[in-house]
This record gives sequence, C-alpha cells and structure tokens, in this order.
Amino acid sequence: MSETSGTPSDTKFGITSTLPTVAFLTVLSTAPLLYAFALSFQKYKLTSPGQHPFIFLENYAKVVTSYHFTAAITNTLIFTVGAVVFVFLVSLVFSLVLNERFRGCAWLRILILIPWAIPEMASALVWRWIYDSHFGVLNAILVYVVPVFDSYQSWLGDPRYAMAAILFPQIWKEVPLCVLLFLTGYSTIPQSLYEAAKIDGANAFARFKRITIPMLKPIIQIVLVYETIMGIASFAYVYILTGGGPADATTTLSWYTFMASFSFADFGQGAAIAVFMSVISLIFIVLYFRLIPTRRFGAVGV
Amino acid sequence: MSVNSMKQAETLKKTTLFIVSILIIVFTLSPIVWMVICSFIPDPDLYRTPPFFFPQKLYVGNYQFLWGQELEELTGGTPGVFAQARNMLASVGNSLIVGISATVICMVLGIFSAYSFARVPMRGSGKLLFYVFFSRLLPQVAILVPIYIIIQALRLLDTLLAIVLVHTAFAMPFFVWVLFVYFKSIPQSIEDAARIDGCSRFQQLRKVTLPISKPGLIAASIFAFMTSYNEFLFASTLSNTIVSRTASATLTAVAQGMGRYSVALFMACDVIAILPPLALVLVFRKQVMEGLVTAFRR
Amino acid sequence: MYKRDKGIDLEVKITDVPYDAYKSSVISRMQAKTKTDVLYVEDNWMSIWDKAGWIVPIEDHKPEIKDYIPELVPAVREAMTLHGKLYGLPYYCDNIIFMYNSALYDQAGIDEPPKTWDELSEHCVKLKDKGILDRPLGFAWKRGEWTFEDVLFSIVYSRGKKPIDEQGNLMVGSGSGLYDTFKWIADAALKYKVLDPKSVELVCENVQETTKVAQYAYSILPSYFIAAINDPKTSKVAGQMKIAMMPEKGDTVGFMRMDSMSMMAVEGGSDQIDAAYALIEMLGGKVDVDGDGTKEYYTAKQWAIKNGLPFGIQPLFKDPEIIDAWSKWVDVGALGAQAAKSVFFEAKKYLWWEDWRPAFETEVHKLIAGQVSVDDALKNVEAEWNKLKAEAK
Repeated sequence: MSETSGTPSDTKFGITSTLPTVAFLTVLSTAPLLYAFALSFQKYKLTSPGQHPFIFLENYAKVVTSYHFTAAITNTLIFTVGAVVFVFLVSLVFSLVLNERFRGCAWLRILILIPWAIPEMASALVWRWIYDSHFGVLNAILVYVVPVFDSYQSWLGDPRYAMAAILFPQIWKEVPLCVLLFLTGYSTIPQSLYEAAKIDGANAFARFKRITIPMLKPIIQIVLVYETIMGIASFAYVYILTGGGPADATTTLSWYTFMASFSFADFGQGAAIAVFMSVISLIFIVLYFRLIPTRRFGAVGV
Repeated sequence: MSVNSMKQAETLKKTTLFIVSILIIVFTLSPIVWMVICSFIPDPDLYRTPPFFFPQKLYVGNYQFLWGQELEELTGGTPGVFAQARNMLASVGNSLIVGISATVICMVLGIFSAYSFARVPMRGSGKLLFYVFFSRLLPQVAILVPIYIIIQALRLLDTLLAIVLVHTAFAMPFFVWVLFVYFKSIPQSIEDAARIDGCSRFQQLRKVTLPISKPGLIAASIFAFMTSYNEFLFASTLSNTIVSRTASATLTAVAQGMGRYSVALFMACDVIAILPPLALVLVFRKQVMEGLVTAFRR
Repeated sequence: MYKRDKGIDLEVKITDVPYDAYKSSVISRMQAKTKTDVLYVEDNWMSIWDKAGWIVPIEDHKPEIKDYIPELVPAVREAMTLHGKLYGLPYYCDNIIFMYNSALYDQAGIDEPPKTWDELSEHCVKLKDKGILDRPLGFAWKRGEWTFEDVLFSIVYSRGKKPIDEQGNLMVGSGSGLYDTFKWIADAALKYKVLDPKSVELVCENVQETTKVAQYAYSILPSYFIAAINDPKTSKVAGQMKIAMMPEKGDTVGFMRMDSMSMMAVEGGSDQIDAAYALIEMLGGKVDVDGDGTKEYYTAKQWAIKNGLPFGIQPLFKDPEIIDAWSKWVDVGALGAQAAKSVFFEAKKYLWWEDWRPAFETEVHKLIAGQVSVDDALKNVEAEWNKLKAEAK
C-alpha cells in the first residue's frame, strides 16, 4: 500500500483529528514509559536521596543476579505458558459447543460473557475466599461432597498447588474473549467446505482437523499472542492471593517489579525489571502485528 | 454409515454437548453464586467446616451495614477498617462517574482519530495508528510511579479527574482500534455519495458514518467503560480518600484486609461492586459480542 | 495507618490508608512530595525513612520531647531512638506472647505449659497422638505478613540469644539462636509433623480465627489478639486461652509503631513544627483533654481500654482503668511480666532490613516444605544478608 497524501483540507482534518489523541497518549502513556526507561539507568534508591547518578547497566546487573530473579523468570514463563495453553483449550472446547444449536444455547452464550464482565479485583476477592485453607468452599467440596482429599488443602500455601491456584482465575477471566473469537472464526468458514467433506466420507474429527483448524489459523495466532501478553502482565492475582509465596513459587516479573519499587524502595531496580518486561512484551506485540494481514491493518496512507 | 452408528454418533454428540454445557454453567457461575451466598450469611457463621452451602434464611445484615447501619457480628478489626467497606456505595458512584467521563473523552477524541485513520489519507497516518495502539499493551506496573509523579505535579492527586485522565489513556487505544476497524468495514460507496454531494469530512462523519456506526460505537464505549471500571492499581494509588476512590480501589483496600476481617461483609461489597458492569454487559450483550468480534475479524 | 497534612490552628487533614497499602502509598506520596507533616512509622521502616530524609529527630526541634523519655518502656525507647535521638512518640507498641488453650491441655492431660521449645514439640505430639489435633501449631507466616519476623525472632530471643552481633553480622553457626530455631521449625514441621504447613499462607487473623474454633492449640502472636480470642461473643474458646511466659529464658520481641515528624514540617517553619508536635503529642503523649489542667495519656489509654491495644508508656501498665478493662480477657500480671522481658529486635535498624525480608521469608517457607535443609537455609539467608550489607555501603 503506497503512501498517499490527500488534499490539504484532508490533511488539516487528519491532523486536527489525530493530534489530540496522540498528544494525550504521549503525556499519559509514552512519557511515563520513557521516564521509567531513564530511571532504569539511574541509582534511585530511597536510602540515597538526592543522589541519582547514572549507573548504566548496574541496575540490570543487580536484577539479574538478585535472589528472586530466577524464580521470577521461571514463574512468569510457567504462568504464561499455562495461561495460554489452558485458555486456548478451554475456549476451544466451549466454543465448539456454543457453536451448535440446541435448547438453551442462547442462555449459555450469555453466561459465557460473565467472567469478562467481572472486575479483576472483585474476582480476586472471592477466589481468595474460595481457596481459603481453613474454611474455603473448594476444600469443602473436595472433602465432603466429592471425597478427593481427606483433609483441607492449602491451595495458596502449598508449593505444589500455588501456581495452579493463581492460574485458574486468569483462565476464568480470559476464556470469554477467546470463546467469542473462536465463534467469529467459525462463522467465517463456509459451510460448503464441510458439506463437501461429509460427502467425501470424512468424520467429525477429520473435518475438524482438516478444515476448522487451518481456517482458524489467524484467530488462533491472535489468541496465542494476546493471551501471552495478558499472561506476562498479570498482576492482580499474585498481589491478592499469594503475595509471591509460598517461598518464591508465585513470584512473577510483574510482582517482582512491584516488590522492587515498593518493598525495596529501589525505583531504579524496579524500572529495570519493568523495562525487561516491556521488551519481552514488545517482542510479542511485534509478533502480533506481523500476524495480521497488512490489508486489514493498513490505515489510509501507511 | 449404518443407521445404528449414526444414532450412536448422535447420542454421543448430545451427551458431550450436555456435559460441556453443565461445565460451562459451573465454570462461569460458581464464583459469583458463592459470592452471593456468602454475602447473605452472618459473618461468624462463615468460619465453619463444612460451610453452609445453602443457608436457611437470607441474612441481610451485611448489606444493611453498607447502607449505614451498625452491626454486631463483625469479626475483629477496628471501626476504621470497616470504614473502607462503608465506602462501597459511594465508590461505585465514583466508578460510574469516572467510567462515563473516560468513555465520553474517548468518544470525543477517539471518533475523530479513528475516522481519520480509516478514511482520511494523510502522511504518517499508519504510523500514528500503530503508536496509538501499542501504548496499551505494555505492563502497567511499569509506569505506576512515573504517572504518580506526573499527577502530583499537576496537583491532581486524590481527584476523580486524575483517574479519569489515566483511565482514558488506558481505554483510548482499544477504543480507537474498534472504531477504526468498524469504520473500515463500512462500504466506501455510501460515504463517497455524501462526498459527491459536497459534504466536508466533518459532515460526512456526522451525517453518514456515525449513524450507521451505532453498534460499533456502543461496543467501543462499553469496552472503554469496562476498562475503566476494571482498573484498580492506579485508581487505588492515586486516591487517598473517598473523594476519589472508585469501586475497584475500595475493593483493593478491602482485599488488603482480606482474611483479616469480616469476609461476609467483603462479599457483600463485592456483590455491589459487580452489579453495574454485569448489568451493562447483560443488557448490551449483543453489541458487546458484535464489537469484540469486529475488532478481530478479518 | 494514616498520614496527615496540617493546616493552621491544628486543623488536621487525615489521610486514612488501609494497613497493607500504607507503606507503598507513603513511598508514592513522599516521592511526589505531597504535603505531609506527621507520619505513622513502624520500627521496620524507621531507619530507611530517616536515611531517605523523610522523618526527623524530634529532639532537635522540640527538646521538650525528652521529658517523655523516663516514662517510655525501655525497649520502645530504644526502638524510637536513632543516632542517639528520639524520633517520635509511641502510638501502638506490643510484644509477642505465648498463648495456649488450657482446655485442650486438660484434655490431653498436660499440666503445665511448655518450658522449652522442645517441650512444646512434645506437647504437640501428645495432642496429636491423643487424636485431639493433627497440627496443633500454626503461625502467621505468609509472605509479607507484618508479624512474620517478629514472631520467628521472638523464638530466637526467648532462647536468650541474639540473632545479630555487634558488627551487624547474622549469626547462623551451630549453637546460634537462629540455628536452633530453624532446626526446631524444621523438626516441628517435618519430623513431628505438628507445625501446620498452611502457616505459609496465613495472616494473623487467620491464626486468630482458627484458634477461636479450637483448631489450633497455640497462638504465638502480638498480645492484643488475646482480646478477640477470649471474647465470649465470638469465640468458642473464650476463657480457655491462657498466657504463659515464652519458653526457655522468657525474652520476647517487642515492636513499636510511632508517630514522627516529617522533614516537610520542619521546612514549614516553627509554626508548622509546633502544629506537628501538638498532633504527635496528642496521639502518643500527654494532653489536657477535659480542660482541667492535668495532662494524661489520653489516646493510648482509649485504645487500650476499647481495643486492648498495648502501649509504650510504663505508667499506664499500672492504670486501674486499663487493668480493669483487660482482666476480662487476660491475666494482666502475666502480661506485664512478659512485657517486662521484651527486647527490641535490632535487625530493623539496618538499612537493608526490608530488602532482606522477602528472601528470608522465602527460605523459611522452603524450610517448612522440606525443600531445603536447615544448613542450606541458614547459608542462603546469611549469604543474602551479607550481599545486601555489602551493597548498602
């Protein structure tokens, strides 16, 4: 798509229309980010006020050799991969069902929106109570109703469970969006392809594998990348449910950023971790935009 | 295929649909249902094993407390702690104000920008669009302190205005994106017709594009509102008193007392907090679904 | 739990912040130089906030504060003093006490509370063997929980040993207080299986609630919790929880919360300093409340009577109204005896204390889960301490 510039009045319109938005976002999004970037190269500790010398990569070195870094990287990886995989699978299964016509399916399509509508903090509160290791309902169900365990488990305190415990609310919240994406995807696949396949003797599974999945590729790619970005940035559940524990089992990069800034009061270090996180996210954003066909993305005059 | 195996396949399909449907219901509803149940139980009764799955009668004391009455059955804590919870109603009001304001600003700025990106040829347009969009996807934790410092410099700490500004910045990119895609999907011919009639760009937008774009506008606005309502980190950091505290910020304050004090009361707070967004999404579900779908459709 | 701004004529603007958010909100606030005159300060943060230039030694600006020194509990005075000067007046001061359920003890046939930590483990095993409680011992050891280190190091101090030497080194060798404590914790959790592994996700109030329904036989917590645990209105074990002296030598950790004057008040000139000091005095010192010319420790007394919150002022321990209010839920004599043996935990004065805490807590969690040996855990915490100490130079 070649760049075209239109009439002078068009340009005037374009500038007056986009400038406010761009300026607004620059002040409130880009500038802070640049400031954080600059911070990451300075010594900005609470305990050395007024002295903010440039220490170049020292903050980054401190971060990488810090006690929590390995755990933070590993946990972010595990969390993100877990989130992406399970959100994907659960959404896929749910969407296949919701794509069918049966009695009550309209109600289900309404229900599926609910987790998306609930604010993160609201759901974090109730999950904390559900997981409670002395009085929580999850334990009650797994001990009294469906006897899987014979005593109450510590979902947020047992290193075996803690990661899964913070993963589930994330999955819960992200599934609605992905279900809708998949449903959209299904609607773009011409029925005729399925008809033809049926005539050729392909069963349901084969039809799914040979037609649905390939046609869904763009949607699948978007789901994967978007959920990755959401997974890396996820903060609320660690904050409310586990505080990074037990041990460092749920300390993720986002939690580590928060800890560095507000527990250690070392803003330089906090900024370094944040830049780190941003770079990782940026890589995925670029990936994200590479995947969308340029025709769709191109504004007039790319 | 024989008739029998077709019937078998049919039954298998029906059973699978049924099981997964139950799963969907349990999956989406169970946390909410439990939240509601617990809000109608007096607090000391919550700390039992096993819990009351179905309480005998509905206890409304928790809600009465939020409406201003005093309560005996609250666990531990000093009055100051529950003062946070008492703010629930007022803070929901704040959330509505902030959400609507942020949405309005998004509309005023975003409609023009999106339209420009979609239809008006201008140098650098695409790069600007990329710029607008990418600011949203970087981790928010990173810019918490810088934004705090900026807001403080503007003397806007502990004001709703500050939160409106920050939330607008968060919601804008997606708003612009949804509208952009929506505008692009409108057949060019309709607009060209208006052009030929001698309309300026602005009139084109006003007379032709906007009326057709109502569904997209509604969807984008709802997303902006939801983004604002959902946001808690900045809302709680930038506010000091109830004057500027939103629902999510109050919940954050309450959550930090979680496990310490009256869980039943907190559940009641939670229920009140989720009512507005739930209502919004359920009432406008069609537009929401269409909008989400448009934003990602080819 | 609050920070304040100041107007004229002692018009006080209070900013009420939920407890867990307090520290981070103060950091944001002071970074942005929001007008603040008086700050609620915990002993954990005092050194750091002083180094950051946020709080000032009140002695330098209001020498009359020294009149309070003789009346302060020694451990509290030590806690509020930095560089030899007093930095505030006490708001809430407490120490860790040992509470046990005497009814469960009767059930198990145990006559006396434990005199050593090993004996405590034995008692727990007895409770376990008799089928009374599977894990009778729970601690509030969630990551970031405010009493985590206070409680754990009270176990160290009660052995009559200090965790840190004069040069500021952590003592972790065999025979050191921390070594014995870590070993005791590991054994209680893994060998005898009496320490509840859920402790790693519990906050104080969780332990309180569990004790109230008799699912823990012990609460080793700040003393103000005994008020709630023995409250007949909400507790099933009301009247059953008793105080015993901390095992072994009986020493315990005391901690303090105070109100300090901020640098901004000083910068505001002598009027501002006067106003700030008046507020600090009202909260932690003596004020003439009823206008009869006599000054009393009004705020501290109110908190004590209404909520059972202890204080850092010695004379108040003998106040008949307070004794009367407290005897409803605790043997005041025993409480006073324990308070007399409370020690200030000097690790908090080191600038890297807050940086070290998350790593320390992580190692303790690993210890309880059996993921690390006692020796390795000690090695790791010492290494982190030394690393942070070196970086702080």
